[in-house]
Amino acid sequence: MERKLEKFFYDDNIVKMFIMATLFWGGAAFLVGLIIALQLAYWPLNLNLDFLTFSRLRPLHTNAAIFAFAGNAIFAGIYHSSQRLLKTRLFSDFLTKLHFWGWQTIILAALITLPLGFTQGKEYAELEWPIDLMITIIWVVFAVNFFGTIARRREQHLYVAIWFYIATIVTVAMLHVVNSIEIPVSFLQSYPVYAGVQDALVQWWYGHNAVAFFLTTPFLGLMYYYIPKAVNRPIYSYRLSIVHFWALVFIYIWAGPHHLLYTALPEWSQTLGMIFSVMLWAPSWGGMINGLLTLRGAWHLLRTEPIVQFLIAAVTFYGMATFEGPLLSIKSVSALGHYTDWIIGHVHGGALGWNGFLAFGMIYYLVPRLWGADGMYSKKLMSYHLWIALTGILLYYISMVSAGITQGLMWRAISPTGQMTYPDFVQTVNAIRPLYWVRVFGGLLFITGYFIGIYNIWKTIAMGKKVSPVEQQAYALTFKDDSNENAHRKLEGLGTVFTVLVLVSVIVGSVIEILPTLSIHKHLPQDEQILPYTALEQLGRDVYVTEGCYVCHSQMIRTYTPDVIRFGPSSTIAESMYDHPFQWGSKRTGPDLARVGGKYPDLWHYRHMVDPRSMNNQSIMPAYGWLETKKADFYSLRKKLSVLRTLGVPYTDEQVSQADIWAEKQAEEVAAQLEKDGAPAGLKDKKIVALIAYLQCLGKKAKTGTDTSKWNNFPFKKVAGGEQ
Amino acid sequence: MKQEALAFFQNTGLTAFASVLFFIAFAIILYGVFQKKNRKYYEQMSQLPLEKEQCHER
Ligand code: HEC
Repeated sequence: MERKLEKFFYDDNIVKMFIMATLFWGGAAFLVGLIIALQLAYWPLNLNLDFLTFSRLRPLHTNAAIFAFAGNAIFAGIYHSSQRLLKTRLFSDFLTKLHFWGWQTIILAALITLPLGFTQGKEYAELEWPIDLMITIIWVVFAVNFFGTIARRREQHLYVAIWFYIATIVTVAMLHVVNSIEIPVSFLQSYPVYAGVQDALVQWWYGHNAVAFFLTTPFLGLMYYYIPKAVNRPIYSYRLSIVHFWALVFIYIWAGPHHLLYTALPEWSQTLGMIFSVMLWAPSWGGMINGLLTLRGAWHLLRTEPIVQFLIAAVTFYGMATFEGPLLSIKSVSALGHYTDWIIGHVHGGALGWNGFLAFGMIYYLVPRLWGADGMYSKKLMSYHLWIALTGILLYYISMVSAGITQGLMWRAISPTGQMTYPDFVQTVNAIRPLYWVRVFGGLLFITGYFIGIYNIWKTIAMGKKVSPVEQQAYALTFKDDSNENAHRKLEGLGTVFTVLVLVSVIVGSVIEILPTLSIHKHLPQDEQILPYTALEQLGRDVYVTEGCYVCHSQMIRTYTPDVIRFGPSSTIAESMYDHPFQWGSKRTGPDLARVGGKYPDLWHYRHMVDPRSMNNQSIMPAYGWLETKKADFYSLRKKLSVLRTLGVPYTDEQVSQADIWAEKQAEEVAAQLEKDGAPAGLKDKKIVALIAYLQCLGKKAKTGTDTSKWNNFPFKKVAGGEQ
Repeated sequence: MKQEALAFFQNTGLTAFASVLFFIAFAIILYGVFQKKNRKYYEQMSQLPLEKEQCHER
């Protein structure tokens, strides 16, 4: 067979750019993380500024860590390794640049909008609809560029790392698009089409698979490439890597509901999520062992080579996190750990240990090669980075797991007489505050390691000689050879067929899991259904979402006795059936709010929002003083209610067309009562009134309830003797 | 009728079916992967990352 020898150049410039972006945004993500850790340990650091308050910054931190730090690291590694594995330059220089600058623009947009409170209120999917669109477009750019590169390859076989990249690209596209189906109300606000339990299921299907297909599969691809590179040995078992791949693709997609154990989500769905999560144990550990054993016969490198140490530490953290994940998905463990800081500890073992160390190991491998230096400037500094950061992660992890278990046990503690041992929620917060300081210290160490790394990398780059791209040679592909290969191997060669297979398996899993729940609201018996929010309550709900209260407060009382004892009857599906988006939350730094309506007078809430310490002197909740001065936008309500009505919330024509009047009237009543009780005058057009109306209706919207239903009867029919 | 069916949708049937389907697919993959005759091919595959590229003289 005649094959042509071709000459070409790799595009390493783009790899350098993505590495720079990784380091830059990584620093930003870590610093914001440190700030919010400090804010929990010491509330005055919220500084009474809306855009610097914990609940606005936490989404910024999570998004930056996932999409800016890990995202750019993935792109750097994928673009570097794919060119080598496929023996070709990237498909299009233009698309490559567009991908880079597009992604950085998205990050910049997030950096601006999130602190300003433009958010959808869905974890790790907070970015508003124009940015969602940008993400979709840039992801498509990435996909075209990547698949184009595959099509142009000069190596017939697709190495397993490429498989992991393919799975990443197609699945993330699906997750992002499905979870982001939303209807805009204004330039920077939208409502998701899903409500309540549907939204919860779709969101955690997305959320968990973001962990799986954004933070795991691409990093596994990188692992399968850079560990062999760093130790100059093939992967321990190529077969095992194939099994690892398919098992993850088949199983991960089902695991999402483990975030919703004991909630109002249908039982079968919870059980499904739990079983599939537990199944993940096996392939994950297989993958970890495969990575570790690649060092067989070269264990001495682990003593002498910091790059190898980083990579192996990363794989070890992968093993730890994937051991803990299934453990936390077991219902009885989840009962204790859910809503606590244990989950935060778990996540950071994964993000800092697995993603972070793998990224740094890869960067240390790449920097000298790309910038033309003979190895890193200082091996010693690399070791310092590793050990200081490792100590930091361990402190972080141990403190948060202890905090989580402590708090979980305190929440469930019952005295012999059947009373809660710690009836005041804030007691359970106080007990773990010292651990918040330990976490701060751990984070500080991790960041110290990061700065050592930056210095080392900077010195290395300064040392490097200018390198011009080196010409590569490879034979062009002819697809007809190797006719005796069996079907499976052909399949590996066939990028498209393979991609379709992956897509089919993730789609089938998703449809079966999600579809039944999507129609669940239709089948709720009439008498269980609830009243929709009044215009003012809906406005208050938007304030709640904007401020990000969901990062500290859940609105989902589990079917778990200690929850019921503390917060009241467990939440029902009906209670959130009009919630676009759902606000069940995932962490309780403050108490559950699902039944807070009517628990306190309006004045209590007013004082508490302006200064939480005035109502509960041990509170760590930030003050939200600006709600008292900022105006509520009543006029936005017509559009909002009309969008919500399109989505199935039963508002009448008049309610929609007079939404602002409806809200104003109710606001006047709330404000008048507040003033009578001693609050300042003139609150009726302020955000705080809307928020109070919302808080007071939580758990009170049953059709048979009497507390707030009066305002649901708007516009009031004229009866003898005037209105009402 | 359909409404009622959906209302009480415990869905275990469909889910069980899908799991079995996935399991079978997975078993087929396992079988394919661990066939002895493919050994040489996998060795070759695992060498892919280690192929040398052209570099500058150091
Ligand atoms: C940093 C985490 C945090 C954030 C963010 C936060 N809270 Fe709180 N919240 C707490 C803590 C802790 C408590 C318990 C102590 C107290 O009553 O202040 C609490 C208590 C409450 C209570 C009283 C609940 C009860 O049953 O006693 C309400 C109501 C409340 N918060 C509303 C909000 C609203 C509305 C927002 C968003 C504007 C918000 N919180 C944001 C931590 C937080």
